[in-house]
Amino acid sequence: MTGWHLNPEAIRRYAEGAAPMELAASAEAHLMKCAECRDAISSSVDTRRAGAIWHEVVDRVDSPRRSVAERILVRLGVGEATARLVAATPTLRGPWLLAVAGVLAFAAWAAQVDDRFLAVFLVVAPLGPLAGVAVAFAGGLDPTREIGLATPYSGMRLLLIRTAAVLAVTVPIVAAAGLALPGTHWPAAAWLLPTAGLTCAALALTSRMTPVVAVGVVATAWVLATAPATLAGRPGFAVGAGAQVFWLAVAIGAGAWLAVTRNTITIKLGRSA
Amino acid sequence: MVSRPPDPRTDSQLLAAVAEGDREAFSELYRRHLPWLLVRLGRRCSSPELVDEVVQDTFVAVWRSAGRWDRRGEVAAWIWGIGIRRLVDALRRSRPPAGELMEFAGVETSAEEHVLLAVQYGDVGAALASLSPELRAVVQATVLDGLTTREAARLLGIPPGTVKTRMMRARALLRERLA
Repeated sequence: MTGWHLNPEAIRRYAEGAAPMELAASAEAHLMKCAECRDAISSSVDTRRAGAIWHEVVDRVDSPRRSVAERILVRLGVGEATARLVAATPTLRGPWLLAVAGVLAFAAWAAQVDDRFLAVFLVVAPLGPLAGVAVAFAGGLDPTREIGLATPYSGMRLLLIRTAAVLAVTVPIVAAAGLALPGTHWPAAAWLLPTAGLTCAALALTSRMTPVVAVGVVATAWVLATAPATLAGRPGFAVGAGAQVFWLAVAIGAGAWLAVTRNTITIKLGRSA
Repeated sequence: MVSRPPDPRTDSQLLAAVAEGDREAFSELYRRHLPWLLVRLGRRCSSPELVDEVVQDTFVAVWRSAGRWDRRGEVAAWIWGIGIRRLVDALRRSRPPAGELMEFAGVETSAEEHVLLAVQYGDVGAALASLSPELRAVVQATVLDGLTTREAARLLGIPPGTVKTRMMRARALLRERLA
C-alpha cells in the first residue's frame, strides 16, 4: 500500500462516523502509519474539546505523584484524601522509625545481657508508640498542620486515623524487638495491653490538652508508676495479670468515652499560629 | 493562538523527549495524536464523556510511561494500545448496554458505494462485510484493534473460548470466500 493515502472525502466520512466498516478499518490501519493523514484529520476535531481535555491532562500531570504508601492505602480501600493525610504523618518517616527500632533493638539486646533490663524493656516499650503519636501531631514536624487547622474537618477523625496509622506501624516494630527477648514469650506481649490503655487514655485527654501534652502526661504517669516497682525486681506490678486487666479496662473505658463524645468535643490539635 | 513553526522531530524523538520531562514535546505529541485517537475511540463508544475521560487517561499514561516504550513499531500504535485498553477497562466498569458496542457494525451502504468499495478495497472488504455482526466484532477487536483474546472477551462481554471459536469460524469463512 505504498503511496496510497486517504483522500479528503474518505477522511471526512471517517471522522463523521459515516464510513462503512471496510473503509473505517482501512483508514484506521493507515492512520497508524501515516503522519500526513493524521494531520489531515486534525481539522475535524472540535478545538474546544481538545483544549478541555488538554487542561485536564496538564492538571493531572502536574499534581504530585502519589507516594508508595498512599498507593497501597488506596488499594486497600482507604479514601484518597485520608490516604494522603496518613502518608504525611511525620512519624511514618523512615529515619524516625529507624530511630525507634534502634532504641528498642538496643533495649532487647540489653535484656539478653541482664535480666533486669527485661523489666526496663517492658517499661520502655509502650513509650515507643506513644512517642510516635505525639510526634505525629507535633506542630513543628507536621507538614499538614496549617491546612489542618483551617479545615472544618473533625479533629477527632484526624486524631484517630493518625493514631491508628502510627500504632499500625510502631507496634509491630516493638513486637519484633520483643521477640528478641530471652526466655518465654509472654514478655513480648505483656506490653500490648498497657500500650493500648495508655494510648486510649491519651486520646481521651486530648479534649483538654493538645495531643503532645496528653501523651506527655500519660507517659510520665506510666513511668512514675511502674519504674520503681519494676526496677526493684517486681515487674508484676507493671505487667502482671492484674495490670493487664486494668489496662484493658482503661482502653475499653476511654474508647467508649471517645465514641460517645466524638461529636460534642473539639480536639485541640495544636496551638494556632 | 500564536502560530509556531511545525516541530520537525519525529514521533519517536518526541516520545524520548517526553520521557525526559519535555513538556513542549508532550504538547506536540498531543497535538498530533489526539484527533485520530478521539475519532477512533469515538467509533467504539457512543458516550463522548467516557471517550474524553479515556483519552485523558491515555495521555496521562503516555506522559508517565514514555520511558517504557520499547522503540519498536509506530508511536501511534503504542498510544492506541494504551487507549484501547483504557477504553476496555472503562466500558467494563460502567457496563453500558451491549447495543452501544455494535454501532459501528451497522452502517448502511448504497449499492453504488458497495461497487466502489469492492473496487477500492478488493474482495477482503466484501468478504468481511458478509460476516455476521458477532464475527465481525471479534475480527475488529482482535485483528484491527490488536487486543488479545482475553481483552477482546472483556470488551465484548463474552467468554474467551467464544472469542476463539468465533475467530476460527471467521477465518474459515473468509478463507472460503476469498479462495
